[in-house]
Amino acid sequence: MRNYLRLLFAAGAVATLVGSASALAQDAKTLSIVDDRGVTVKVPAEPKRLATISYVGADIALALGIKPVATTYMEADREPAYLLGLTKGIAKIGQRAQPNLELLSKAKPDLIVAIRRYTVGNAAQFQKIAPYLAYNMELLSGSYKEVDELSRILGKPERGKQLNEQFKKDVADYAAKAPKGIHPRFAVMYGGDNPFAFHTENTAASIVAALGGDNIAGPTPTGGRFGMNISLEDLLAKDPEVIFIIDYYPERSEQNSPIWPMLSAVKNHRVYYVDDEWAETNGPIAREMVLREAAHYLYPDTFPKVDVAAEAAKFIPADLRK
Amino acid sequence: MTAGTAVGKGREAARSAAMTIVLVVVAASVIACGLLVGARPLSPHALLPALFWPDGKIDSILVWTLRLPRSLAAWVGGAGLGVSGYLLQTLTRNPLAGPGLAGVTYGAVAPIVACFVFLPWLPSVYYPLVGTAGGFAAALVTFWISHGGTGRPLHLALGGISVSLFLGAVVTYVLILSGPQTTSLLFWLSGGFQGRSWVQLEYMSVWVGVGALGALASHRVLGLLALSEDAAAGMGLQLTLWKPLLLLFSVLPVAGIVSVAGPVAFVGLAAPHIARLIKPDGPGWTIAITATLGGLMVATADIVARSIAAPRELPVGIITALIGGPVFIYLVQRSNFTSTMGVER
Amino acid sequence: MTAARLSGPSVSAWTLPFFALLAIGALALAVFIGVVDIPPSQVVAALTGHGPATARSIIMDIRLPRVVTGILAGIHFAVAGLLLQAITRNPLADPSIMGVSQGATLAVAAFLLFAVYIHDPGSNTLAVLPTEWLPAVGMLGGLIAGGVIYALAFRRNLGPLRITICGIAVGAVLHALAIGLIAGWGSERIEILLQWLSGSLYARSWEHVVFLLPFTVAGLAVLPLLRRPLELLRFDAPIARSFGLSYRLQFSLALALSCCLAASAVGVVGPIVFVGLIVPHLARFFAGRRSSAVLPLTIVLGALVVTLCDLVGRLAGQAEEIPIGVVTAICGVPVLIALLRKVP
Repeated sequence: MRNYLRLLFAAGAVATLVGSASALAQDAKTLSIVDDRGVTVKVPAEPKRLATISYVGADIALALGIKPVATTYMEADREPAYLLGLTKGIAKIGQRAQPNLELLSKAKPDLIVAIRRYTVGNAAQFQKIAPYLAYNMELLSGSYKEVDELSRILGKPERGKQLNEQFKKDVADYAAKAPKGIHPRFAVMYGGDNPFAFHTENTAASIVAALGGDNIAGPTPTGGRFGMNISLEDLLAKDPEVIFIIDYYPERSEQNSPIWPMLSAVKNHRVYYVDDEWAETNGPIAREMVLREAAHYLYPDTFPKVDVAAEAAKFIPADLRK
Repeated sequence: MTAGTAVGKGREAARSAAMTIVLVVVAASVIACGLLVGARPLSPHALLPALFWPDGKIDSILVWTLRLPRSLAAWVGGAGLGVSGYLLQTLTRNPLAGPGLAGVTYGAVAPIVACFVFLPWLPSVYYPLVGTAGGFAAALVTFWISHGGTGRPLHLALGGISVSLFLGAVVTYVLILSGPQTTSLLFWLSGGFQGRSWVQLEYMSVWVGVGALGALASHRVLGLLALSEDAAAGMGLQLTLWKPLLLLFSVLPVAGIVSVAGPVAFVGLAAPHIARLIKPDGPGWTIAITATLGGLMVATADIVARSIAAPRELPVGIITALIGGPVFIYLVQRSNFTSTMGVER
Repeated sequence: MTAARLSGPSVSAWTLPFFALLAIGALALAVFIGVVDIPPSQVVAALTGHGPATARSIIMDIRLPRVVTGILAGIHFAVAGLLLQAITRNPLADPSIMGVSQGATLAVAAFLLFAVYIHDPGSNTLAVLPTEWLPAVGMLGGLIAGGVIYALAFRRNLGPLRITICGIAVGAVLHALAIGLIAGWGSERIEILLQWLSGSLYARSWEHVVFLLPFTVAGLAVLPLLRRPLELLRFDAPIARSFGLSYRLQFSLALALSCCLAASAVGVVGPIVFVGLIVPHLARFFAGRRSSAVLPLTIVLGALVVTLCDLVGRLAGQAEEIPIGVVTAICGVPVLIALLRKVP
């Protein structure tokens, strides 16, 4: 009877141990991660050579003090300021929509972190090169998750938690300091003749909304995407007070639109052309920069102008910065 | 030939004139109704004051800055495309000719896109010039490939499509190179009048006007050419002067339109054929009816494009393809199409 | 074949083997050369399964499947073009002009833009993209377009001129619709769509080869059966019938074969323009008087052209490769113009 009880007890202990294992099942060499596709991927327990498709992965890695071995770019020869130009020393593999497979393979990554919507179609090919994790990289909720998970995979879980806590605190601080009762109407959009505005759940837009702004594009409708093409009539009718334009069209053709001079934002000089961190906001550094910039642009009297390079440096460990 | 008597001829001319007026009136009413629709619908009740007593509020801005000039631009654009198509069809005596299928449209588009991406400092006022040069050159290449009117008529269509395909590939490559500007360019490449206002209307009208007036002024020449080149030459017509000139008149409107609204498909091809169904009296009236018909088509298409999927805007090209495409297909279906392969009047 | 019988080089029995060798050489070149420089010894080792892991990854997983897909697609397009030019008696016929490619493009665009909703309508973000279905969807679109054109032409007298015109008409309409669809709804997926639109071998893998191979084999197996009918289809229907040819049947068969070959290739690589147009002409040029050599030469040249153009696209673009459709278009036009000027 005693032996039987012991056996039961041992079995129970084992069962408890097994049952309490988190989603991050571990054996000695690999982790099993479920990425945003819902696919379980076996990644190495301590990846040393990270390849990122989209700046978000590079952002997270740099904030953790790790330099990726390969990254894509938004525009060739443009090193984003919010990453302190550190991408200059990283091998480039093309645009995020079509990363060059040979160059990626040459970089010998042991983990690929990619933006899902562009790369998921060729997931099988990426998986052959290295374990491939696809993340949505679109919403703020996703940002917390992506930072958390990647920092765990890269071996620095506390730093990831710290980055997330820090950001939540920063958002709360800034929101508290922001003038109450003013809800400036804003739009975050790509410019050009056919503007594309982000819905409120999108990371950049949600940061501005958290500061009290009122997104003219509104929340995402059910079954909808993270942004929408906004017609000029709509833009005129909704008349945002502050417009953030992600600056990819050097000739800024939206300024040629006949209603452009009639928008209050234009009349009050509150149209701001912003950089890559507003397009790839899910990384820890990018979102902090967007927070500061949005605060300053929404309430210029309350918040000072942002020196992106100086602020970003606070998030990147010193040994990477030299 | 029953219309030999003066009375008969007068009657026919009057009929054509009446047709033209009817088309203009229909177009005007369509445009007027179009002022009501859009991402933000207006009631007729609100439209009248906004239209006649503009007061700087949003309704009047919508009408006077956004919708009215845009519809007018669409009308003028359609008229120009129609005229261009008619000229090309008469010039080549090929019913399949049209600015799109003769390579003219993409000939104008490709250099404009290249300027847009690689020479952003060039003010857009120069785009129609660039487009004219490109369209003219592309048309010449097409004609050269297909031996103008002396080769098999189908050659022209196929040659034009080949030239368009080539230029289309160039344009696609430029688009890819342009990186993030792609969305904006691609929308324009489907034809769109979004945001086109009085400025664009004015300079487009110049180009279209010159082309249309030139065509009208040459109506006698056109009548002779429609018979056959030999007949025309026999009547003392200097073909080496007139053919390039007529080609120029057909390219000018396209260049003007393409630089403002991008390529708009099928209008130049379909409008002349539909116009001929009404049996106008002579090339002059054919041009008038083709122009007004083309204008009606594109104005309608533009209104549909901006209202059917509100608040999203569709490119005008998809609507004209849906309207003009079946017309085109119906045309090629007719049993006498391949046997004549000539332009009737 | 009424088309160009240009004064080619004096024909020898060595022409076909020569080009076959050239094609193999191009294949080797394409495998040995690429954006990443790999020493030839490592390439050879990788091909036999040994060698450093990176070389094996690049050669076996990335370069080789891509080149092989290209070869198969090139054969498909070239043979489809040859058939089409034969039955329409028109040297300018090509599946990409005549509706099949445009049908595939429209199907792929609609699928990429709207399948999201069928698959996961409630999600906030773009849901999973079932891209494994893309080749099949594209092929289906191409076949439907071909079917529509056939139906339109069939109602009157089925003939070369009618097929050509219907093809152009339907093709132009579908193209406008596809571009409109992409411009109107495709903003978030623009890059992927553009990639497909110009015909691209990016990320093509052994799965694509496996998809295409049965069609290639089946198509090539059926071809010898069509040789005599193809020669007779050169003539007008009454004359051909007097030779005992069941005109309608053979015409339809040849058309169907051309359509299937083109549609399956377009489904996998997108519309690569001009290969179907130019390669048959080149084949006739080099075959000279030996008309029996035209078909094999077409196959070999199709493979050769695609391989070389893809190599150029990969090298010239470096990190951002030039899609093969663009390269074939740019290189193809001077050839096209030179050839067409000689056509009566």
